[in-house]
Amino acid sequence: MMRRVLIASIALVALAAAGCTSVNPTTAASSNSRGPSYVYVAIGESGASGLRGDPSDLRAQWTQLFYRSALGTDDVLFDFSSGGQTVADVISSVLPQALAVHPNLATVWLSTADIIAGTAPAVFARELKQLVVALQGAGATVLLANAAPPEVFPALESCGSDGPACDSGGAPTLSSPALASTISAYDNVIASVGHQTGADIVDVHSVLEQAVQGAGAERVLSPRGTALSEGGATIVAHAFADGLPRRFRKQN
Amino acid sequence: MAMRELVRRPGRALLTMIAVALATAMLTALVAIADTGRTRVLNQITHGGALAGISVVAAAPNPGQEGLDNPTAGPSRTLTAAALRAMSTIPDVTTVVPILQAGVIVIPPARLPAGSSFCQPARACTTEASPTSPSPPTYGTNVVGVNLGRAESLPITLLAGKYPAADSGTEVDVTTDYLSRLGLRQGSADEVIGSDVELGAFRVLARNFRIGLRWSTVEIVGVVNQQVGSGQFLAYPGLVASDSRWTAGGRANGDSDAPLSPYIGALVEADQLSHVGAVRSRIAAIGYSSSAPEDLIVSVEKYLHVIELILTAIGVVALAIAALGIANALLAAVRERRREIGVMKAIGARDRDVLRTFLVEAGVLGLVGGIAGTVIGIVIFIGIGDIANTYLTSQGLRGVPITLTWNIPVGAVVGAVVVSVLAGTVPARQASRLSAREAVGG
Amino acid sequence: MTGPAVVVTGLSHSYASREGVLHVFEDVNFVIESGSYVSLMGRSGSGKSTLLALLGGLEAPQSGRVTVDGTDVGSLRGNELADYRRKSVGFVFQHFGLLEAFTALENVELALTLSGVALGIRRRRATELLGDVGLVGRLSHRPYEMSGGERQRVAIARAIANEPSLILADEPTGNLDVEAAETVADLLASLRSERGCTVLVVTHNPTMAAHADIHLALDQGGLTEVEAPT
Repeated sequence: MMRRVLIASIALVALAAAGCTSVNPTTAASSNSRGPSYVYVAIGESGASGLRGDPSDLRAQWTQLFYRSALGTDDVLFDFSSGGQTVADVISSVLPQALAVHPNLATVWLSTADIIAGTAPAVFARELKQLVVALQGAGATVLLANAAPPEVFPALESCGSDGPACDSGGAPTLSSPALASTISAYDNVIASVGHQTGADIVDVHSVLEQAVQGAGAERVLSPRGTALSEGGATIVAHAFADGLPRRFRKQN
Repeated sequence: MAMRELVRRPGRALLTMIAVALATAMLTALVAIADTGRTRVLNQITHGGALAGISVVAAAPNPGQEGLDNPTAGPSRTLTAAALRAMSTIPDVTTVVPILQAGVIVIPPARLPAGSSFCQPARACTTEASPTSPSPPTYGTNVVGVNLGRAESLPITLLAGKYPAADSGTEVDVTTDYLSRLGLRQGSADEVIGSDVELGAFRVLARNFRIGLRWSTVEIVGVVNQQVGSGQFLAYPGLVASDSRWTAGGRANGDSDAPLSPYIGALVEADQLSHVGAVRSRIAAIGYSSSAPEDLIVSVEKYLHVIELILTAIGVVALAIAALGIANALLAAVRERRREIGVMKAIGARDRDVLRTFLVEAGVLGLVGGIAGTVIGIVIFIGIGDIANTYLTSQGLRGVPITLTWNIPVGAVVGAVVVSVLAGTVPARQASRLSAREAVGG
Repeated sequence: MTGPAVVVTGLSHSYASREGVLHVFEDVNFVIESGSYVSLMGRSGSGKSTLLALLGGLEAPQSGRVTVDGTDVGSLRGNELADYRRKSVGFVFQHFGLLEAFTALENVELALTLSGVALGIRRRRATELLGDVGLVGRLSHRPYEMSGGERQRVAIARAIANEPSLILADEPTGNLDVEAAETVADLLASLRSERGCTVLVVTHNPTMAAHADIHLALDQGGLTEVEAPT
C-alpha cells in the first residue's frame, strides 16, 4: 500500500510540475484581412485648409465623409485638396506627389479658384485634361466634378480663401450674370474633358443647386459662406458616392 | 522491513510525514515566491525589458557621462537604418529592436462610447445622433512602432484585448491616455476595442505650406501601458513607417521640421549582463547615447539574493524542525523495539543491517512527506501568484509569469529526504549499537 | 558431526549491581557432545540465561573460554560474531522473539534474508520449514493472530532456517499451556533426532527435561550434572 501511495505522489508532483507553466497575459493576435485595399487621391478645393491652425473641422469635410462612408476601411486617402487651388497650381505642386502614391481612384473638383482668377475656359480645359490624363495614366479611375452653382459663390466672390481671416486680397468681384455664364462655360468644358478622357462626371452643380433651392444656401455653406457646411459636405460626398464604381465600394 | 514498521504505527508515521510535508510546503512556496519576486523586481527596474537591455536614443553621447546608468543625452542625432545595422553587428549583441514614431492627426469615432464621462447626463451617447452630445475632437499625437512580437521583453503591458496581428497595417493598440480622451476609465477598455479610428499624417506640399494628408483607418484591438515611445497609439513598424515616409517627403518642399528618419530609438539586448558595458561603449563609438540600469541591477540582484537566502533559510529551519520530529519519533521507536532489535542481532543481523533499517524508515518519511509538501507548496505558490496578478493587472501593471523551474520541486523533495535521513542517523546508530543481549531476558 | 559441539573451560561471569559485584558463576567447565540434548536448570537468577547468551555469542565472556564447533566464540567481533549467530546457532526465546509487523512466513524468511538467500529460494525454504512445524495454514498470519504454541513453532522454524548445529532455547515453554508445551517439546526433540542438532534447553518443565540426555544445574555459581527431574 505504501508503495502505491509513493507512486501516486510522484505522479501528482510530475503532473503539477508539468501543469505549472506560465500564465501570461494574452499576446496572440490574429490576421485581419478585409479585402483589397485601394489608394484614393482627392484633388480639389474646400479641403484641408486651416490645418495648421485648428484641425477640428476635419471630420466634417466632404473628402472625409466620402472616405468613411463609401470606401473600405483598408483603403488609404491622400487628401491633396486645399482651398484656392487652380488647376495650374495642382499640376505644378501637387500632381507629381499624387502620381507618386500610385492612385487607384481620384476625385477632381477644381473650378472655383480658376473662375475667381479669371482663367479662360479653354486654358482651364487644356490644363484639366492634362491633369485627368496624367491621373489615368497612373492607373487611377477619375471622378470629375463640375462647378458649384452661383448660389454658393457669393462670399467666395469677395474672399479668395476660406481661411479665418477673410481678405479678398484684390480678388476680382464677379457680377451674378457673368458668374452664371462663366460657371456654365466651365461646366461645358468639364463635361467635354470627361467625354474626351472617359472620366465619370459627378454633377455637384445640380445637387448643390437643389439643396440651395430646397433648404437655402445657409444649409450648404458655413456661417462665413466661404466653405461647405457639414450638410453641404454630406451632399457632395453622396454625389461622389453615387458615381463610385462598384468595385471601390465598402464591403459590408 | 522499514515500510512494515511504518505501517504498524500509522498514526505516528502520518504525523511525522505531515510535519515534513508542511515544512517542505513552506520551503517550496517561499523559494518559488522569492524566485518569482526577484523576476518581478528586476523586470520593474528594466521596465519589463530584458535584464541585459540597452535603450538607445537618437542623440549623440554626452562626453564625461559614459558608464552611467542614465546619462544625459547629448545633441540630437538622426538615428539611421545604417546605424541600427551597425549596432546589430556589435559582438555580444543578440537583438536590436528599432523604435519608430510618427506624428499623426487623430479623428476618433464621431460618437462617444456609452461609458464616457463626457456624455450628457441621462443621454445615451451611442444611440441616434444627439446634437447636444459632443463628438470627440480631432487632435494630434504620435503612433509608436515596434516589433510587438517581442512585447514580452519590451516595457509594454497589455491591459485589455490583444496585440495587433504580426506586421498588421490596420490594427493598433491604444494607451490609457486615449481612453481618457474619450472620457473612459481603464476598466472600460472594452468600449474602444473593435472601434475604428482615422490617423492622418501630414506633408507640406509646396513652399506656400499647402498641406497634403495621408489618411488610414485603423482598428483598435487592445489597450496597453507602454514606455517605448511617446504616443497614444502602438503598432507594428510598417504602419508607422508609412506615415513617417509621407511626412518626411515634405522636407523637399521646404518643411525643415520633417523627420529625416522614422527611428527615435532602439532597444539593444546584450547576451548577458556582464557584456552590457562593452556593448554600450561600442554604441557610443557608432555615435549614439544609451542607457541601461546595469549598476542598479547588479546591486539589486545582490540584495534580492540575500532575501532569497533568508526566505530559503526560513524554509530550511522549518524542515529542520520537522527533522527533529523524525529523530524523536525514531528514538521512541528504538526504545520500544529494543528486544526486537536484540532478536534481530541474535538471529544474525549485522550492525549495518539494523542501521539501514532505521535510515530507510527515516528516508521514507522524508520522501512521502517531501512529495506531499512539494505539491502543497506548488498549489500555495500558484494561488498566491493568481491573487497577486489579479491585483497587479487591476492597477495597470504587468502581471508576473507564474512559472516554476523544475529545480525547486526536485530540490525540495531531495532536501526533505536528505534532511530526514540525517535526522534518522542518531537513532539508527543507537539502534545498531544495541547489544544482542537485549533479546534474552534475565 | 563428531566430537564435542560445545567446550566450556574456566568460564566466569559477574555483573555490577547496587549491592556491588554479583558473581553469576565461577570457573564453570563442561563439554556437550555433538548431537546431545541437554537441559539446564537452576533457580531464578542463577545465570541460566547468561550462560545461554555466552554460548550464543550474545555476550562476551569476561574470563574463560567458550568453544562451539571449534570456534572460540569469545574471540569473535563485529561481523564475525553476527555470522556465527546466523550460521552456527539457532535461538528460541521464552517471549518467542517474532517481529510483529511480519507474517509467519516473513519471520522465517528474515533469517534467510540476513544470509543473503535469493527471494524465490528463501520463500520456498521458509514455506517448507513452516510445513515441517505444522503451520502450513498460517503462512500469512501475523503473530497476534496466532496462539502461543504456534508462535513458538514459528520461532523454531526460524531458528533452524540456516541449519545451525547448535540450538539454544531459553524457557521455550514458559508462556505456553500444557498441550502447546508438549508440542514444542516434541518438536525440539525432533531437531536432535531428525537433524542431528545439538540442543541446549533452559527449562523448569519436566516434560521438556524428559527429552534430555544430560541434565545440568546451575547453583551458587557452579554447574553440576544432576539426575533427570521427575
